[in-house]
Amino acid sequence: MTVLAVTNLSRRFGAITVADNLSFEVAQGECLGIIGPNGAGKTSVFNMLTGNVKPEAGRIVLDGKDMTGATAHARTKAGLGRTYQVPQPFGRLTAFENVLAAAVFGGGAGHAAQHRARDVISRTGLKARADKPAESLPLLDRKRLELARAMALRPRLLLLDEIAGGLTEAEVHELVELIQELKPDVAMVWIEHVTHALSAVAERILAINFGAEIASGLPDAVMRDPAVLEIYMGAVLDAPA
Amino acid sequence: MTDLRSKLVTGAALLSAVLLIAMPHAMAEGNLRYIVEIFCVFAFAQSWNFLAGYVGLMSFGQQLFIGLGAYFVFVLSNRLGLNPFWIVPLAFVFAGTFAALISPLVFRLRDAYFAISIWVIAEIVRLFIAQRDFLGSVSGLPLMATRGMDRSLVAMWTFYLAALLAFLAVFGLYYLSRSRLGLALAAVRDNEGTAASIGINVWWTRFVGFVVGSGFTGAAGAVYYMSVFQVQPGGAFDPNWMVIMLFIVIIGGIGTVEGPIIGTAIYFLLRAFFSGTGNLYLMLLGAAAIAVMMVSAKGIWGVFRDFSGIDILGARRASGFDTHTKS
Repeated sequence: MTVLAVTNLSRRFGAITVADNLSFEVAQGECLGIIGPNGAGKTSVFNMLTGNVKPEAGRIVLDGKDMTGATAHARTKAGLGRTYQVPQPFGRLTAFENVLAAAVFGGGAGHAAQHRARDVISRTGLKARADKPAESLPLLDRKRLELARAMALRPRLLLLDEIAGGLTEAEVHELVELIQELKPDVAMVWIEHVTHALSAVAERILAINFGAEIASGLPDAVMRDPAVLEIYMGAVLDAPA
Repeated sequence: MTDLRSKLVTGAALLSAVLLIAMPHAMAEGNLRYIVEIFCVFAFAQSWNFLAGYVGLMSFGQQLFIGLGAYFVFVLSNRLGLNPFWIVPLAFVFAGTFAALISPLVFRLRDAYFAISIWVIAEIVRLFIAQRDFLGSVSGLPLMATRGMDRSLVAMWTFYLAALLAFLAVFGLYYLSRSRLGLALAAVRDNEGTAASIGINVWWTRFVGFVVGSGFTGAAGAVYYMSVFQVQPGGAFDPNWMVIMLFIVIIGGIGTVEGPIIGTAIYFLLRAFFSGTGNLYLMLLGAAAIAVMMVSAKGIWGVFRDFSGIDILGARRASGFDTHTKS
């Protein structure tokens, strides 16, 4: 079942095109990875999905409802959860309170929200630091908290913004396992530079440059696509046999 | 542990209520008047603490609402011959409505610009009142209605209103900060983008906080000036009120219920000892605030709480996990 349907999304900032007629769909249990070099428009596409940037043309449909012009909090009510590339916790609240707030305002109240927050904290491995202020947590825990907060909303669509960035190999591995666990319940769009993490989770990858699609399909195929190789390697290499 | 604490706070609230109700019957009128002043100044400080430390709105013009609340009660009571004690709740509504009306304007401004915009509005309102004869112009208004009333009765009801303000400034703030609204306010205060991303309506949450906090300042302003029976624009809209609020909150600990209690005590102690020294006393206040800030921006209670682990009236919601054993 299709959760997110994006059609002909376009946006320019002055002379720079950040989204050029992009279309894609994501179904429940599926993960779409978006890759592209710096400045390709990944974050802008992300911001249009979250409602922080308005598209000039195109439609964003979430669970059958048109969300193209909706505010960020309205999208959340409609089933969107997101993480931030640079973790953005409620710094003075504890890890538990961060997750609790999401559980409370994501639709649950009272004991149900309390219960869900505790459950999510356990699943994301934050139990030992649950009562510490979020601003005091190390990076991996703050990344986990990003995921935990988004999960507590019980989203239909989960948007991950470079969540593996800045982590060590072992930490990336831990995070990937966690994301795998969540996947069946949501549709996922994951923007990432750490491509091996992405390939482990995503069924499909969309490569963009200057806001336009240059390749899409199975991860392996996209990674071997000459157009993608050219962008990442800077020149056309002889195609590997 | 959490259950015990909430029982302790409920117990403390009941005990305080009983003591406050008994107080006017056991005290001389002069002392009562002094306590009224302390309670009102505490309520001013706590309302600013609420805005700055709980809502995340730093205003440098809260004297605006002190003056508005005071003038509202004086004008309405004098014009219509009403008992001013009944109008105090309406002063909350009036100041809150004023805050609501300026919100669309001032919320477009951020940080320092927001802070100063309220100050500018306070000056505009002060000048407006100072130039209107029917509002008493620069020399202000006396409170007529209380002249014909029994003196000790007036003292008692003024005390009860001030006591109610102080009570709400402690226990009302405690329960509010632990409520659903309190959680939304804390989220918006800490990170408005993330708050929106979990489904909180940032603008409305902040709006409600601003209206409630400013309305409370207005009610406290009304009681303060009722207790001195006259109001003047220069005094009611005096930026020095803001200085006192800042001093009390910064020194005691911003974003805590207990901090301004300590700050108010220190303020009145310093004033009692150094009031004869004129300008020196204001410099001492400033020096004390700077000294505390150099040690820690968390203020006296903030440092004590972090050091001792004692948190009585804090809003922190415990996870209930046993975090001493590693999971």
